[in-house]
Amino acid sequence: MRYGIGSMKPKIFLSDLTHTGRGIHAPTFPLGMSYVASYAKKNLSEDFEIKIFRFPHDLTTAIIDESPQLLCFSNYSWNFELSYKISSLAKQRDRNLIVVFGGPNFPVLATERAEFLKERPLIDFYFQNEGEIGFTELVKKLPQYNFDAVALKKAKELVTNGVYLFGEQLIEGPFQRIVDPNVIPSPYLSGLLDPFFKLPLSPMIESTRGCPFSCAFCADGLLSKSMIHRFHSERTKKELHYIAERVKNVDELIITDLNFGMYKEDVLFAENIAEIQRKYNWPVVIGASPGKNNKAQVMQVIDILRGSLMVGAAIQSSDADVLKNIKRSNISLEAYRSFMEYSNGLSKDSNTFTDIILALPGDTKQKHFQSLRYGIENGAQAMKMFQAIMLSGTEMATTEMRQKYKYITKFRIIPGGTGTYQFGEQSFSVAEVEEIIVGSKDLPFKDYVSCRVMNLVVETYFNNALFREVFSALESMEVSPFDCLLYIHEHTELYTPKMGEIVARFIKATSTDLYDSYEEAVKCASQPGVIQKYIKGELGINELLVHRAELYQEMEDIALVLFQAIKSLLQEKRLLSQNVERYFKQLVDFTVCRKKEFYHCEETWESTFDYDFKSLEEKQFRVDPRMILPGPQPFAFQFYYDAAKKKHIRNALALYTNTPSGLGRLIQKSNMKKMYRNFDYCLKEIPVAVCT
Amino acid sequence: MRKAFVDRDICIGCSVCSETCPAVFQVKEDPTHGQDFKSFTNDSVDQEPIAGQVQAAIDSCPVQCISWKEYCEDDSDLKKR
Repeated sequence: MRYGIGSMKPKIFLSDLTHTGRGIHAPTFPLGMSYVASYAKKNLSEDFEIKIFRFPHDLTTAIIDESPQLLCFSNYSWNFELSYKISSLAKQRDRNLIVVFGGPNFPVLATERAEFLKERPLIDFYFQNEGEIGFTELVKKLPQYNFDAVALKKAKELVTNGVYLFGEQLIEGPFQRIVDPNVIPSPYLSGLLDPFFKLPLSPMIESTRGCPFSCAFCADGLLSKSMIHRFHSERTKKELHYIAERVKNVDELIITDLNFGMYKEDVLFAENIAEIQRKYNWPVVIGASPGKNNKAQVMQVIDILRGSLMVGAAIQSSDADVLKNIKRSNISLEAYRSFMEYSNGLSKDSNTFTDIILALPGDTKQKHFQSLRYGIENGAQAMKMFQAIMLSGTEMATTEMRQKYKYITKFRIIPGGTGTYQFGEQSFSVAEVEEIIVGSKDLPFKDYVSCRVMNLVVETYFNNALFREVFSALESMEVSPFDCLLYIHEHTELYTPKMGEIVARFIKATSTDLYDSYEEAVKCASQPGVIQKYIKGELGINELLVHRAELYQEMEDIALVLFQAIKSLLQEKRLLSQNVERYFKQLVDFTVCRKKEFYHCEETWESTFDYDFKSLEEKQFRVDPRMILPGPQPFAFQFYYDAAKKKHIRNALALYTNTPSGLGRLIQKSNMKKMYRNFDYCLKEIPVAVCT
Repeated sequence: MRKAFVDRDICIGCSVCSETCPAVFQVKEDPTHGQDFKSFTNDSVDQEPIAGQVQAAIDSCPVQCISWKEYCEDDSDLKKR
């Protein structure tokens, strides 16, 4: 008999794995799986021993040491192959082991679900949508069958939200959403997540479940997930305090709600966060997906969290046809502008952004550029530009949509989604694969590449307020920053050799390192030597983040190109004079002093300029350069970090590691405005280094 | 006579109602709510013959902001909504 030998309790291992081959790929708490564990613990009493895992090494060691009866995995595109590989090794060791998967990375159509399970025969059961109730139901049923999965399947037992194959037949249990998520005990307050506070992971918190919108590219756009269910505010308040009391060396809190700020109850949630910010001086940064509508309500929430929440208004595209194709409506231009204006004015650290996805159904180069222009010219301070990923479980990935828009898709190794791990004596390598759209009937591949280069230009120059002072000056002359960025994109002859090399490498990376099929990608990546290139970052990088980080490290070069582009553009527009040229030259140099090499935060720099940039900063540099004259004497400035900024930078560097790939992710995830040097008049001589 | 009533202070303009019952619900920008999208009802439609569809829209509203209200000709408040 397998179940109940002696006094041993059956062991259940629940894993939400992240790759660690190139640093921690997803440095967050395993919140989703902890809910499944928490509900199971409550309802299975003391009959079972339940453990949660985040890192592959911890899981493989525990499997060998403790021989669980049940292995359960969260399935996302970024960890599926890793979880499946560990399942196969664990099953080789114990053929009676039951393997359960759950999560959004699962097809929409029943025929495709059956195909998925047929191709992955090691998965005994799959839970779609919320897994808490169904998983506990399954575990309660298993003892009746002596922990024999085949016997349970033979009886065709139905399990809530559960799916499995019996022979060729797909058996699906009833679908059910959890109407009151408060039936799930808090995994924080029960201490279930305590071990994760010792690790360099960002805590996550959830106050609502569900998304009412039906965007075709998103797994949460399905009608079955539209109803909103909420955790009690008292509970989330207690969780916030619990987290704040325990978190160490991590500045970020991630809110997993899909439309944070959009609901009335979010005001109280935000007030509770603001309360812990006052008490614990944490979180410094809040990661969240702001609501897509109800901007007045969202603005109230942003106001409460002043500066700590990166505020965005996702549009994905500004083109009406593209939006129709993905079943999405954007707020009006007027509402968008007033939202951005309000959010930008809240604090000097406000950093508004807009999400845009390249190559959505019906997208073209012209439409993509127009979408970028829309965001940049209407107040967004950063453009978050994504590739269209064909996520399993989304409408956009269905055969019908593929045929309708004639997507050109390729497969790639997910950046950071690789690693070599140990299972006992055995070493194994795994790479995660995703399918992206690189063209369609409306977007030739060469236009796709051109759009990607434009994305790099925007990332480098516009995002993170890197040259905000310069663009403000241009706007004061009624010159659009987008036109300046377009000029840089189209005038490669301005590039310095270093910048030219980096852009050429970017084009190569975005055009190659792609595969025609999932199988080909997995096969190639698992060849000896190839996986090591992925792990080292020679292949499979997030090319936009890495090359942006490389360009940031050559800040003098990119600043020179910007200055040359401004000069030429203003000349074309007959707006250039000697004074204007001199001002822009010094403004660009001044910006370099403030913003280059933030990771050298112990250094204080000093430099001299002809303009009083301190008083210009009070006007946010929104002064027409034609109206500005140099001072009678030079102004000496020092550029320095205060203690709070230094601490914030050190924490961020520790979390993301100081490598080109890590630096790219840090820049992407952080509010860089909190990482630039303060500056002031040089009143006494303290030059540690001179900025050149 | 009863008609559907939308509490637009709670409505999030997601369009689930208008997709479920387009004869009664329409989502459009609301100048009284900062141009946010909100659901509006077409009160000129007799909703009783399609009560099943209206009820489906009520049941599927993600934030439960739609309900039946008794309606009479001089109920100006409801008419305004």
